[in-house]
Parts: sequence; C-alpha cells; structure tokens
Amino acid sequence: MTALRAVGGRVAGLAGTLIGVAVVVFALLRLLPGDAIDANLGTQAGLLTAGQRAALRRYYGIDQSVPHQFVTWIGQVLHGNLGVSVNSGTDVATLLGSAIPVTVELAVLATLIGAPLGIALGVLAAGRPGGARDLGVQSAGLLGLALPEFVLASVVVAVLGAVFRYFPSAGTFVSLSQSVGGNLSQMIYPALVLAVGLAATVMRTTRSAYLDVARSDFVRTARGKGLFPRRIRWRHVLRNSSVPIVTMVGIQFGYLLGGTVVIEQVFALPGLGRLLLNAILQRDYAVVQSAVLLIATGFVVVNLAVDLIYRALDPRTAET
Amino acid sequence: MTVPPAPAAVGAALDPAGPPPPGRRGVARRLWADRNGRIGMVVTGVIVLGGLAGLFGLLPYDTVAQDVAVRLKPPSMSHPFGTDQFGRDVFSRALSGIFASLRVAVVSVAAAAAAGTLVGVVSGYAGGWADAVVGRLTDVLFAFPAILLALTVISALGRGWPETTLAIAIVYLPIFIRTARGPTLTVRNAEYVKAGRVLGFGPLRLVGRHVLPNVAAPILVQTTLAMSWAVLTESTLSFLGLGTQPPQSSLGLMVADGRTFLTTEPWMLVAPAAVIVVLVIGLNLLGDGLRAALDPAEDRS
Amino acid sequence: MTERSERTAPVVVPHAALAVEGLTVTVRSTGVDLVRGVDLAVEPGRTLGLVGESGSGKSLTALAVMGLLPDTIRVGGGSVRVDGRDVVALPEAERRTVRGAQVGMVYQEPMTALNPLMRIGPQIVEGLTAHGMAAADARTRAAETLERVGLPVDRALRAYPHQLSGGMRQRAMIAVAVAQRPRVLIADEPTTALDVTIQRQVIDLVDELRREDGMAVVWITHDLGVVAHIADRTAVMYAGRVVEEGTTAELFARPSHPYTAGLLRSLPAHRGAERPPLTQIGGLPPDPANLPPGCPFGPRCPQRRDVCTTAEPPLLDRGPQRAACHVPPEEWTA
Repeated sequence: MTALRAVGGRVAGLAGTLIGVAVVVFALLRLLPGDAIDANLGTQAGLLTAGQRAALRRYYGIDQSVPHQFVTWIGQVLHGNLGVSVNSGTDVATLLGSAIPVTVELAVLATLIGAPLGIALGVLAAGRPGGARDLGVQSAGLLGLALPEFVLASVVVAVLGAVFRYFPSAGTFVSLSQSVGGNLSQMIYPALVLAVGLAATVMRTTRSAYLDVARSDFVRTARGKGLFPRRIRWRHVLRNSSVPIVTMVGIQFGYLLGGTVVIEQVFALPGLGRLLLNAILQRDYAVVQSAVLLIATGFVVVNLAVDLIYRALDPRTAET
Repeated sequence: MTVPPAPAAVGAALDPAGPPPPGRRGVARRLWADRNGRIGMVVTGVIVLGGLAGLFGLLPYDTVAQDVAVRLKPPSMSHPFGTDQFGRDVFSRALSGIFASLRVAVVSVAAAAAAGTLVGVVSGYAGGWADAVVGRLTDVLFAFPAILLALTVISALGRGWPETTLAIAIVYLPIFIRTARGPTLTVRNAEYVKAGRVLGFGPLRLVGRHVLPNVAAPILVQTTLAMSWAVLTESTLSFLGLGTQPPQSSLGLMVADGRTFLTTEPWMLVAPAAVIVVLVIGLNLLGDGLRAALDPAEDRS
Repeated sequence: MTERSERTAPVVVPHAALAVEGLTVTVRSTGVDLVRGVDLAVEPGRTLGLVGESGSGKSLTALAVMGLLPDTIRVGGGSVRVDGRDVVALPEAERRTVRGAQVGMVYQEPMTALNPLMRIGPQIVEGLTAHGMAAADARTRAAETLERVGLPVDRALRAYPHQLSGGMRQRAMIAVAVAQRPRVLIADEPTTALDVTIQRQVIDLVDELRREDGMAVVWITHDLGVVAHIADRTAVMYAGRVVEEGTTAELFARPSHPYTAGLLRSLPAHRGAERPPLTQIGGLPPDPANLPPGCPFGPRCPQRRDVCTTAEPPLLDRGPQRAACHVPPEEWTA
C-alpha cells in the first residue's frame, strides 16, 4: 500500500516536472526575436500592412494573453497537433515519428553493448584495487571519458570509408523494418562509439560500488559462513552493488535519448538528434519545440522507470 | 549526489565560533601529495599556459592568415603540428583554440558556480517557500539531458561563443545549486549554528563563518569536474557549427575541418583532438585529487 | 627473545575444540604486532570469556581464528587448532571448509552483518549448501534452527533483515551461525548493540544452544558482568596479549593482574565481597606501534615497581590462574 502511494507520488511529481518543461519550451519560443509571423514569413513579414498583421496575429492566436496561448498550445500538443515544419512543409508529428525509432534503437544498442562491458571491466578492476589490471582499466576508463564522441565518431567514419569503402549518408539509411541485417550493419558502428563513453561511466560506478560493498560487514559474514568465493562475489557483492549500477545505466540510457546529436550528425542517421540539430540551424522552431519537449519527456519517464527499478531492487526502499 | 558531511562538532556546541575552516595551504599540500592531483595539476597547468600564450598572441604564426605555399605540410621543426589546407600553422591554431575553449569553460563555470552557490546557500538557509520554488526549478532543469539543454538555449539565443558560454552556464546552474544546498542544510541544523542563532548572531555572520567554509569544498571539486565537461561541450558545439565561428580557431572546429584529411593528413585532426583529451584528463585527475585532498574521511593518515 | 623461554608452557587441554598457541597478528605494511603471542583453549561444551578494551586485540584474535583478517593484516606466527588440526597453514580452499562448518561467528552489529537485500532463509541455507548439504535438507535445517533460536519460523524465513527488530535480527544472526552445528562458536560482543532487556535473552539463548550442541563458545566482550554470568574460564587481554587467564570464579575472587583488578573495581554490581568504591583505571591503552618499555600496563599500573619499566612479564603461575605481572598479589600495596 505504502509502495503504491510512493509510486503515485512519483508520478504526480513527474507530471509537475513535465508542466515545468513545457513552460520552459514555450518560454523559449516567446524569447525569440520577432513572433510566429516573422518566423513563418521571414523577411516578407516586413511587407505586411497593419491590418494584415493583426489578422495574422489572430490567426496564430498570438493576440491572446500569454497564459491563454500556453494553454492553447498544450491542448494542441496533447492532441498530437505539433504544427508544420517550415522547411520541409511536413507535419512535425510525422517527422518525429520517423526519427524516434532511429534514436531509440541507437540508445538501446549502445546500452546493450556498453553496460555489460562497463560492469565486467568495473568488476575486473575492483578485484584487486591498485593492481596492474585496476590501473589499466582505470586509465582506459579515463580515456573513454575524455575522448570526445565527435573525435571517435569522425575517426571511425574515416576508417570505414578508407578501409571498407563505406560512406554513411542519410539517403541510404536502411530502417529496421526494411532489413534487420542491413540496418544493424549501419547502426553497429555509431552504437559502438556511443558505448565507449557509457562503458567508461558504468565501469567507474561499478568499481566504486563493488569496492564499497566488498568492505561491508555482511560480506565478512558471508566469508565466515564458508561460502565459495564465486558465490560471495556474485550473490553478495555484485548483487548488492547492482542498485547504484542499474541506476547509472538507466541515467546514461536517458542521456542517450537526447545525446545522440553528434553521432547522428557524423554518421548521417535520420534520428531525433539530427532532426533537432538541422531544425536549430535552419530556425525551424516548430520542430525544435516539439523535439525538445519529446526528448525531455522521454528522459523524465526513463528516470522515473529507473527510480521504480531501484525500489524493486532494494527491499528497504520497496516499502517506504 | 554525495555531499561530505559538515565536520562533526561534538565539543563545538558550546563554541559559537565553530570549527576552523580547513587551511588553504594544507589542501594544496595534500593535493600535491595525491598522485592523481599532482598529475592533474601539471597537465592542466601546461595546457593553461598554452592557452595564455594564445590569449597574449605569443604564437609562432598568425592563426587566420592563409599561406598557400605551405599548405598541408606534415609536422616539422618549423610547424610542430603541421599545417592545414590553407597553410595555417596547426600548433598556433591549437593554442588559440585552447584559449577559445578555456574562455568559454572558465566564464561559464565561474558564472554557474557563483550564481548556483548564491542561490543554493540562500534557499537552503532560508528554507520555506523560496527553497521549494528553487527545488522545483532545478527539477525542471534536470529534466533536460545536458546537451539538449545547451542546444535548446543556443537555438533561442543563436550561435557563437558568448551564447555557448551562457548555455553551458545554464546547464550547470542546477548542479551547483544542489551542490551548495546540501551542506547548507546540514550546517544550518548543526548544534553550533543553532547556538549561534540563540546568541543572536545574524544570518550574514553565520553564513559567512560556517556555511560558506563547508560549501566551499564540494563546490571546488564540482568546479573542476564542470570545467572538464564544459571543455567537452564547447568543442562539441563548435564541431557542430554552433559554438565558436570561423575563421576564429577552436579545437572542435579544427577536428571538424580535419575529418576530410584524416587518412592523408592525420595531424590536422589528431593534434586538436589530443589537446582536448589531455586537457579533459588533466581536469578530471585534478578533480579526483581535490576530492581526495578535501575529503575529511581521507584525513586519517 | 628471552621472555619467550621464561614463559610457562601453555596449559595443554587434550580435547580442546579450539586451541590457539602463540598467535601473533601483524600489520603488513609496518610490521607492527597487534596481537602478540596469545594462547587460548576451549573444551567442547565450555565457554571462554575473552575480555579487553577496544584495541586490546580480542576481535583481531577472533578474526585470525576465522581466517577473516583484512588484507592489510596477517597472521605473523603461532597456530590455531580446531579439533587438533592447525588451520593457519591450510590453503585457502581447505580453510573455507573449516569456516562456518567447524567455527562459526556471531558479529557485533546484526544490522550490518546480515545482507540487507537477502531474506533470512537463504542466508542460512547458503552456508549449509556451501558445505555440501542438499538444498531441501538445508531448508529443513534452516526452519529448525529458526525455531531453536525462538523466531516465528515462517515469517523469519521470508523476512529481510530490516523487517526484524534488533533482538530478532541478532537471533537470526545466531541462527545463521549455529545452523551449521559448528564445533566452536565465536561471539564478538553480540549484545552491545541491543537493549539491556534483550541482551540477557540473547546471552541465555547462546548458553542454551551451547549446552544442547556441546559447542565450545568464545564470548568476546568488554563487559565483565556478562563473563561472570556465562564463562567457565576467562582470559583478559591488554595491548595484544593475554595478561591473565583462569577459571572465571577464581579470577573474579582473586584477580592476579592489576589490570583485571582495576576492571573488577570499575564493575558496579560485582557479586560477593563487600563493595569497594567504584574506580576508573587512569590513562589510556598504549599505541601498539609505540609500546612503552617493560610492561605495557606499567604506565597505568598502581603496583608499578622498577622491574616493570625494564622487562615485560611473561604469564606466570599465580595460584590456580596465570597472570603476566612481576608482582604477586600478596605483595600489592592497597
């Protein structure tokens, strides 16, 4: 019962946060120099007569009060009416719909590769802290954190082109529904690049959580029972380190939803990040607004899921 | 986020002066004694010197002027990092790129740290509705993945290094608010501060004498880590064409330019990339070292 | 060292379940000895009280017996015999078969000594199956053991540690240790974290289990009152050594080391004997890395003589018990 109430509280908090996010995104548009008329008509807006301008202001709803505009906009968003992209003339919802699967697939692939790798390396490093393996893994981890994604991605693309004559471009993208093999052969390299940073972060979390738990009293109790070292390592140390590790993996997965901009740009993948970046460069504000709102929502929902998993993993928080 | 506890004030309850703040020279010495801290200080120091050379124009070559006679030359005595497709010296451009990166990183992190500390301390110390409002605001800002928030701000403000600086500052603001707020709450409820209130000391004196010294250490550690992230973000945004604009040199732009030449003239990409990696590693090690030097738990030896 | 040869030979207990001889525990990095030549022996079905202040080496002695010393500390010398077999020299794989199965341990803080993410049932069962018991038998044994320690079986099997009260947690901890029917049970201050009313129940429970299973019990404590209640023999440790050892009755009636005498005087409700005023032992225990010359208790000792600053006294026969003091109790000044 209390657990249910706690989850309910979380969901309510999430709704509040999302409203805040919507306000920020809305305010962003209001902050822009000029109004929707300038945004849509560009320099031609200067040719409008006062009467035409007033009519257009009514048409766009910007003659209303700011709170009224906000509520109208939210209503539209909730009905899936996200407006039209000025540059492509396409419905924004359609654009987002085709971009979402690419980014989600990328994030999932990167997490599937990076998380197990990071956990394995973290356990390896924590096995003998200060030893040669620990130093090696830690140095590699530091390099993984410091190596910017755009550098690694640029190098990978250059090498792919030079060695395999493979040149990624948006025109040749194969979606998962068209061909699983063809899609994976395009997605695997960007996913690997994303996995490097994720693995480095997860490795550091795993290592420190593992070392913390290994020092605790109940691990001494487990040794005192005469358990096999393997069981101590898995059932006691790693299981009890899983709470911070899973939390970190979840947070990193959430970041990936909004953090694939660079990778999608370098590898020319038609995902949310590339859509957003091009929209920013071309001042296509309807797209920017919706993409930001969508990604932030996804991020918040993933964080909520992480929180719920965290509760499920630890019986002490499951009841509070 | 872990926040180091305020020093235990067992005997200090009777002493409104509270425990003395940790000495600055002690921290510097402990930082130097820590292996990570020492490496971090040296590496960061060398790169910062390079950036200062860029700032004061103490560069072997002009960073913008083109010289077709020496285009795409490999590293040599006269051009240690080679030249680019316009015949510009990559070493000189890398040094001025360091300056461009550090300018954004230092200004944005300093602004975020100062504003975040102020807001975090005031809201944490005041409590009540002000604290609740600040808490909700930071929650909302945390709902954006960092790079997305930076992109969002830039899309509103436009491209360029001042806009990038502001964007990074906004991304880091909530992190600094939380970092400052935690210890503030702890200290505010500590016995010696309550005693100070009973004795009639004003909030300014209590915050200055007790809260700020306790907030300083986590803020300092967070600052170095934020710097490393800011350097990465600045170069990423420049790489994407949203940060520093050409013909000004920036490490991210240099990597973007170098892509086409990677298989034939690799130095154009490798040199600026290596500078970023080394600087970020240096800042991370410095942060690790600072954390070790400032952590009361490490004080046993 | 000459004092070693002067020392009386340890009392040989032919059927000791646990016999510790000349045990030395050393810090790896500095070479400082934290336990210096400790001899202990417990027969099956008997209880040895091991008494000392924190830092006296009593818990390290217990961890050395278990083979659970932290990586930074090692056994520097001596032997630990469990049922006559020296376990110190055993390779780790064989040492594991001794832990839990032949020597069990109950720890001070049941909240942190039990795995918070594991139900009590599996925490008992895994120790049994690790030593070859079939899973089904182990589950039966776990239920029986919970019954024996007085916990509601069905609820306790399924409970996580945080769902139990402090006293129940310590009972569960005891169940984890005794389910394997060890020959020796080491109880390291298992009652310090508990309420006074619960303390007595836990002490009586361990005593009852000892009687039923014929376990040898080593009860580590700084509380002489507990020792008086349950221990057949008592060893008092100071600065890494046993400074007095004997039957509990005799040791309480005629302490032969000034430190023991001081401890007894600081005990409020000591039975028998007319009560002298409560006193405290002045000063602090010495730093193991920086022991004073001669007797380590010398600087705090009211009976100090000149010889005490030059030679560390060996354990000497003092009537029925043995004490490491140059000055026999008859010559003590009041």
